[in-house]
Amino acid sequence: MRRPGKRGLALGALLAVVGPGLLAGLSDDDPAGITTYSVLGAEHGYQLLWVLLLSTVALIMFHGLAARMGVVTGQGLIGLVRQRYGVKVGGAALAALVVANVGTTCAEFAGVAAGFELFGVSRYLSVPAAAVIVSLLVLRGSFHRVEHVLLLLSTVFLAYVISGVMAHPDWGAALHGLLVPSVPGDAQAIAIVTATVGTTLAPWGLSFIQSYAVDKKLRTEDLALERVDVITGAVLTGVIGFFVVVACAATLYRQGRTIQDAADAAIALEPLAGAAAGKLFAVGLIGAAFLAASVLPLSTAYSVSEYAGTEAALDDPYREARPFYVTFGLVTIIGAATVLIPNVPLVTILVATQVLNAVLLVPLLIAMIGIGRDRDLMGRFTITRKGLVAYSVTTAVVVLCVGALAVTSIVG
Amino acid sequence: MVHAPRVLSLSRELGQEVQAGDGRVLGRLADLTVRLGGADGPHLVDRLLVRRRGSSDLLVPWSAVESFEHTGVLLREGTDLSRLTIASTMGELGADELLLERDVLDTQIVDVAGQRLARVADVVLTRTSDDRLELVGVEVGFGGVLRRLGLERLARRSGEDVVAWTDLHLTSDRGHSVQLATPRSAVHHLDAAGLAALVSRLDTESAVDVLTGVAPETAAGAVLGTHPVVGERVLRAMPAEDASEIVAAMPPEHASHWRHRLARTPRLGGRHFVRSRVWHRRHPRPTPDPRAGGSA
Repeated sequence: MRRPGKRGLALGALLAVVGPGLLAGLSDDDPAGITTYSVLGAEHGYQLLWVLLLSTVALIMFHGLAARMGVVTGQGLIGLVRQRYGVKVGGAALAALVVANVGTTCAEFAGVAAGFELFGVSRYLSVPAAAVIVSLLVLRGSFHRVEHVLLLLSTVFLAYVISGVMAHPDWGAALHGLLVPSVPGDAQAIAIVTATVGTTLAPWGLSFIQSYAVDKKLRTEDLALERVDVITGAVLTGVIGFFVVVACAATLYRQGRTIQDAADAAIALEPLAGAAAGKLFAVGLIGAAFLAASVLPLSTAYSVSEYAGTEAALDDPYREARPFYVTFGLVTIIGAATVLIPNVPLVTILVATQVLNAVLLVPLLIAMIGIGRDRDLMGRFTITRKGLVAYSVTTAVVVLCVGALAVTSIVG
Repeated sequence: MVHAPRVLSLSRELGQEVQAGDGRVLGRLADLTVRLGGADGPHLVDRLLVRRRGSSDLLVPWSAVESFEHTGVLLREGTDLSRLTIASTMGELGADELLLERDVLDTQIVDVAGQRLARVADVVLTRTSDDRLELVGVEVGFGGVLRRLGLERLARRSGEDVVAWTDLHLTSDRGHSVQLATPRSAVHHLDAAGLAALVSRLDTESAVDVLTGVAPETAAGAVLGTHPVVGERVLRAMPAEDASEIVAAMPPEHASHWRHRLARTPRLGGRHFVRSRVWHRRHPRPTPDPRAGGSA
């Protein structure tokens, strides 16, 4: 066999490590995320694009920290929280995470339903089919093939980039909105800013990337390359969000239209940016929903098993890994069934989930900083004083958003 | 006087008041230490970590303890506290000394007898006839967690699941290294099949520590007992001379296979593109060594 050249080796080593950051980042652009970005663009034009830039920076920092914690300690996030803070704090974090994850899974299946309905397929067909396919793919033990499919699937996100360009946006205004922060003072704007932060930097994304790095058995010498993976994933997430906002700002906002969800955006885009743009938007929505619907029940099942301390592996028989299988099954079934109940207040559930995600983020980020500062756990990879300032400032911004949301919703 | 219970749980003892000989409250019990060294004899609680409000911690030797009850800990009169004050436990602990709360409670362990990964719900101690505390094992599973959450009724229904101290390997950073350094630990008494099961469950760096710490013949048996993906990951992660020593200790046909396997450039550096082969735990293979074969 020919020895690969130096460049080949570097690329090979990078490809070997790539995965956790990319998948965790991209599945943050799930239907809930796309909906939030669409509303952000449709209601505020280019004005709030800077929120996306900030979210991306926060995503790079905390996904990087989560991956590092996983590699150094060999444990997932919820397991570490229990080890560091005890069963009570760990239990509370887990309970909130499970509720938020069930709500988010519901959002993913709602995305599947909405996406397929745009192509005339009933949700009573598409949602159960999606639930069965996702469960079979993941539980029948061929997840390593599924992941290749998922990464391929994530190229549908290109659809958003194309539909963004097709909408002929005002690039100057977009750049201005991206770099110059300004906030409309109303409660609605604060809610959408908080939702954007909460959907980009999602608690389940943090726990997922850490479990993933642990299971991939990455080593401390892989950390430099893993950083590249995390940054790539986070930047792609931000770029996709940017084009979604731009597409909606250039069309819906200019025409003064409002939308409820991402499917509305797809329909509304058609006459304004062309039929192809709307269709591409819908395809992106379905792909994103599938990606996240595959990852969420699994990520939840791993968190529950980590906390309970039982072993969790897909090839374990049911009696050895009961919490794992029960959690996976319940999250999938509840998520899919909720979408199918007639007259269920889906929008309320989705909004409540996003708010819960944003609120849960605060204690989780503080716990992560606490663990990252613990020399007993992190050894020479402990967060430095300079790092502590950066992580604290980012957390403070999230606290500020959540606090402002709480104040405006109580006062308003 | 009420007779103290023989079996104690660490989580119930932590947090109780510690009083000086003159009855003055010093602080609260934060941790207990145990030394794992020594050729034989029980693992006795060696020192108490006492957290004081507004001043430095105390590390109190058991010889200074007058009584250790569930209602509180009383130190002997005339104990010189100034000599027991520490700024931090770092550098104060003996090479074979563990903190039970920090290094054991709520950490992950490998139960080498039951061949499973578990999380410690509580540490089980017993009172010896000469009123010392002996470390006997850990409680794992959900029952202990429920009890600590105050859900006694549910906890009783889930039952108790205790792993003897002689049957476990700690995965916490300090626990792992102290156990590796003490010859009495479980990890030094495993056969090839047991080692294979342990190595399959540990992270790569810990697995390398374990295999380079045992005789090459035993390590070779363990590598042959693991799934080839696990064996390759661990061999590649260790210094080349250690890996070749282990391979040399294999039976000739296995050795040449492994030399060939390790000589080729692994696709994607041996790590796979996405979470492939990762959600699966690699089950150890039945070992080719007949002495170590067969399961309980």
